Parts: sequence; C-alpha cells; structure tokens
Amino acid sequence: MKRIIALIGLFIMSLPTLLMAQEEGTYIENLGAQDSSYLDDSINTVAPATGSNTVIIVVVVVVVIAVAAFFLLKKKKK
Amino acid sequence: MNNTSNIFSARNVFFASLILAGILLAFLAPNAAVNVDEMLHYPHAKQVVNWYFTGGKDVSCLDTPTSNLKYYGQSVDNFTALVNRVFHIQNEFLTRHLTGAFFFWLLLVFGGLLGKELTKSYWTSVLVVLSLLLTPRLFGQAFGNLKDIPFAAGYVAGILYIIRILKTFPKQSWRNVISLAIAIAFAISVRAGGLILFAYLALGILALFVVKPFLLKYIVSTKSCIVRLTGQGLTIAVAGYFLGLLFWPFALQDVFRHPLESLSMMEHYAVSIKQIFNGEVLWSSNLPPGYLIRWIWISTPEFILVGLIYYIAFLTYKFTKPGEQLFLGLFALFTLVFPVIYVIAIGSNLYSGLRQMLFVVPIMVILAVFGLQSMIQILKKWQTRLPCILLFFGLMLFPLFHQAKTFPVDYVYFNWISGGNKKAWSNYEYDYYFHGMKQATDDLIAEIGDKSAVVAMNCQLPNYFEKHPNINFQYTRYLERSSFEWDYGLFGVNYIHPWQLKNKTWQSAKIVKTYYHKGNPLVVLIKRGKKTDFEAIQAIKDKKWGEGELLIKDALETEPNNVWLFVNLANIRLAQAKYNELDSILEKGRTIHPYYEPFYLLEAQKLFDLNDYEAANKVLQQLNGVNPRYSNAAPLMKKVNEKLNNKSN
Repeated sequence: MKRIIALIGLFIMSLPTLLMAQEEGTYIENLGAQDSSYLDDSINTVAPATGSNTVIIVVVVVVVIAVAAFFLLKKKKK
Repeated sequence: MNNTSNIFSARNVFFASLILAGILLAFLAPNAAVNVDEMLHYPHAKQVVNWYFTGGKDVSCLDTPTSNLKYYGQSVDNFTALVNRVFHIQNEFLTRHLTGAFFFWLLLVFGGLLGKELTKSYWTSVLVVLSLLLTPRLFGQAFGNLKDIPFAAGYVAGILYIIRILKTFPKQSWRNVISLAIAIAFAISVRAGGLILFAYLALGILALFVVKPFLLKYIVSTKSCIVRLTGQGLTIAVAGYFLGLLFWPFALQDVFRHPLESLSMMEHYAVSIKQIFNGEVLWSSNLPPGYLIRWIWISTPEFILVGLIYYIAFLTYKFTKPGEQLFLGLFALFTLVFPVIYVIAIGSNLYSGLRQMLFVVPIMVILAVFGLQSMIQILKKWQTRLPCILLFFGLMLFPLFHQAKTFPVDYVYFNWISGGNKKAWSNYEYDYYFHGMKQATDDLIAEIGDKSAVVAMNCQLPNYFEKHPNINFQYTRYLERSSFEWDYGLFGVNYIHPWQLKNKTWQSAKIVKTYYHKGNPLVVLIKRGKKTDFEAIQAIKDKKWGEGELLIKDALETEPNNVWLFVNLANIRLAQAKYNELDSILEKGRTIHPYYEPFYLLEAQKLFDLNDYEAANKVLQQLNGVNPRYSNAAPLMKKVNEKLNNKSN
C-alpha cells in the first residue's frame, strides 16, 4: 500500500515535468536585427585597422604623383 | 555709362551673389530639418563645453566607448553648444542651423576666391557661387551638417591659401601664411583629416622646386629668405596644428599622439552601419571598392559632370600646346583626386552616400566651372561656343527645380544619368538624415493636439516633441515596432530591405498617411488603434504561449504583412518543439521578407535542437551571407561549431 501511495505521489510530483515535455524546445530571447553595430560585436573577426601605415602611404602616393606630373609637364614643355 | 559698367564689374557681381546667397541661407535656416547626426553630436558638444566650464572635471566627453565621439574635433558643434549655453538660447537648433548656414556661406566665399585664383576672373567666382548653391548634396546639408560642410569650407580655404603661397613663393605675404595657418587649424578642429593640408603644402612646394629648380638655388643663397621661410613655415606648422586642438579635449590629453590616433580611427571608422547600395543591404565596413565612385557618378548634378568633361578636354588641349603652364590647375585636380583614391586604396569605412567625402565636391564644382570658362576661351566660333554654354546652364535647371520642390529633403538628389530619384529609391540610401520627418512630425503634432500619446519613430529625433509634454517618444526599428507600446508611429523608409520595398510587402495595413519625395514613399504615419500585437508579444515574453498565439493570430488579421508577428509565432512553435508548424510559419513569413535574419536563426535553432548540426551550420552560413553582423546568431554559431568539432574529434 505504501509503495502504491509513493508511486502515486511520485507521479503527481513528476506531472510538471511531463507537461513541460511538450515545450522542450528553445525560446530565443533576442531576435531583433540591428541597423548598426560595432565591430567588436560582430560574428566574424575583423582585420585590425592599418592607420599606422597612413603616413607612409601618403608620402609614397604624393611622391609618385608629383614625379609623374613633373615628367609629364617637362615633356610637354619640350 | 562707365559708372554702370563699373557697378556690374565681375568683382561686384561676385559680392552681390554672396549677399544674395547670405539672404537666402538666412531665410531658409529656420525652416531646415534636424538630422539624426545632430542628435548624436550636439549632446556630445554640450559635454565638451562642460569639460571647459568645469576645468576638466566633467570627463563625460572623453568617455565615448561605443559612439567614438571623442575622436571628433567637431569645433562647430561645440561652438553652437557654447553660444546656446552662454546666451541661454531656447531654440538651440536654430542656432545650429544659422551657424551651419554661415559656414556654407564661407564655403561659397572661399570657393569663389579659389575659382578666381585659378582663372584670374571674378566671373568664375560668380559661377562657382551659383554652382555650389545648385549642388543639392552640399546645399541640402548646409544647415544641419556641422561637420562635413564646415570641414569642406576649411579644406577649400586651405587649398586657396596654399595656391596663393605657391603663386608667390618664396616671397609669399605674411597675410597668406597666417590665413593658411588659420584654415588648417580650423579644418583640424572639425576633423583630424585637416592634417592633409600640411601634406598638400609640402607637396606643392616640392613640386614647385621640381618645376622651377632655380628657386631652391635662390633660397639657399639668400640668408634673409631662409630666415623668413623658416619663420613662416614654423608659423604654419605650430599655429595650424596647435590652434586646431584648442577646442578638442581628447586631443589636448596628448597633443601629438591623439590627433593621429583620431585620424587613424576616422580612416577605419569602427562603427558599421547598414547601407542600401546597388539594391543590396551591405554593412558600411564591407562595401565594394566602387562605392564612392558610383556615388559620385549618380549624385553629382549633371552640369557639374559636363563641366568636368570640359575641364578634361581643356587639359588635353593644353597638353598639346608646348609651354603652357598647368601647374596650379593640376594641383587643384590633385586635391580632388587624391582623397578619393586614398580612401578607396585603404578601404575606408564610408556610409551615407558620399557624406564623409563631401569636402572634395566643392573642388569638383570649381574645376567644372574652370572647365566651362576654359572652353569659352578656347572655342572661338559662336557656333561651337554657344551650345557648350547653353548645355551647362540648361542642365542647372535640374537641381534648381529639384531643390525648390523638395526642400528640406533636397539633399536627396540623383542625376538623370543614373535614372534619377525614381530609380535610386530602394536601390541606394535615400533620406539617411531623416529630413522627411520634419513635415510629418509637424502634421502629427497638430493631429495629436492636447491628447496624451506615445509616438514611435525608427530614428532618434525626439527633439521634435520636446515642447509637447503630452507626447512621449519611443524608438523602435520599423519591423520590430510591435514590441513597443505606442499610439502613433512615424517611420522613414531608410533601412527597410530593398526586397520588401520593391515587392511592396513593407507597408503596414495601419498606415494612415504616406509622405512622398518625388513620387517615392519617404515617411509613413501609422495610427495603431488596437494594441493586440504588443499584448501578444508581452504574453510571449511571459512564456504564455497559448495566450500569445491567440493574440498574434488576431493581430495578423489586421496586419497580415507584419513580419515580426510571424517571427514571434515561429518562436512559440520552436519553444513548443512543434517543428512542422514552425516550418509552415517560416514559409509564410518568408513570403513577406525572405532575407529576414530571425527566420534563419529560428530555422538553425530548430535543426540544432534536432541534433542536425551540419544542417544547422549550413543555415547559419546562409545567414552569414545575408548579414555577417547579425550578432544574435553568435551564441548558436559557437554551440554548433563546438558540436561539429566534438564530432570530428
């Protein structure tokens, strides 16, 4: 008798779990799609900024264009 | 007779054009729209002013971990905050818009003078003033854009004084030297990019030595000249650099390192913003290399493009004439081309059309006018000269009519070569500044009257309701509007996916008014009525699936295009593990928006729950292709990768 009562008690206690079994999937809390984000939040790794090379790039481009323009002008003058 | 002709001299006409432009700008400033950037920079400007008023104790202006605002000099924004604070001005945005108008007017002044410097004619100046006024992407942002327009004014002023110095080098006047130092200081104080003017000066002098080698010999052999040049060089370097940092707290923390750090930051701006480009949604940090060139091509007024063709034709003609001097013209061309090539080469993070590169547009305008004037000089016969002139002036009518018709949303201009505004809508960024909200908010305030109401918007412009305590503001993304409580909604079409715009699945059934811009929907006004959709989402948040489902189904009857409700319904099914029904909801939802990120995430989560990790990974990869920055997918992506790694091990 005690066993039967214990079994019934166990069944009643496990009812919430059995009911929950119908809802065993996943609920996703946050689904919103952002309009803007910061690089740190991104899924993918983003290449670091290369700003330290800026001065070198500026100098190289400036010199190349200046030299090209000079030769072009000199040639036309002749 | 002589007196009359004196009055109408080119110089006087230039001054008259500036006066008229000033009157026009002053008249329009009070009617200008507030843009979304103002709501970002102005509060920061107030913090900057407070930094000075508290002697550096209030460091809030230096604590900008996500907005990166400390990297902006934004001296003009700071100036308006100072004026409003000192004079207790109530209408703060009017101060800002009048200040913006003033700096645009300065752009006209310096642009006109640069035109005169290049062509030796004040008629060029007059035409430059007119052309700048008829460039909608510049004029349309004159009032509210206190970064890009003032920076453009500083940039043009810098080039003007560099050219004046190069013309008279090595005997340049102190007046031009000091003017250049001020121009550089001002440009740096707005944006760190102003440092480029130092490089231009150095390049100009270097090129001058190459073209005129005797100059170097003269300088080296003349002691007084060396002394004066050293003094002038130091003045430009020291005053130009340090004056520019005086109103920039972050730069003052470390005067040598921080401005360069800021320049580096601006070149690779850390904030990524969704952009509509070429009919696709892209993140600004992942734009194709042709982005800037395409924007210049589609948004530059037709007459400017024609003028540039004239300029190129003129250059080609001059190259065939031995002995012709082109030095200054080429130098000006360099200041237009170099920044464009440079930002493309280093892959800078650009967004909002060519907004960050607006400073090169005035140079483009000046060279276009230079081109027209050169063609007039070269073409001797009226039969060839007249069509060239008529074409240039005739094409000016396009932007003129556009601006008259669409103010204050006139900056949204696409030339007819690219198909005009009609074709650009849903393919390119449209009203990214949300100027269209001005008219819509005016109308809505009148409709609400004294009633209490919450107004939702998909842009941060609560300023329009500040004087109405009965109206509360709520920000929400357009598609996710059902998650918030509001009574009226004003939504700009920017950020809505091109697929939805083209397939007309974006409109809510509750739209009561649509505001159009050249026939294109710009803003919609939604009157919510019943809030079943909001109640449904609240119930779902409380995990009351049954109640939520009933309410969602009820809401969908009134708003069948509300894609967010499908997302939430699918989320219920996922939570209930009813996967067949989930698939059916996803299918229906995708007929409204096939590229909506939550649908991919829900599908991937379903596959993960079913232990099909490879399929889940495949869906997540598709999602990554649609939106590589959809951060909500990151936790699932991590879990899927762990499972796949465990499996392979």
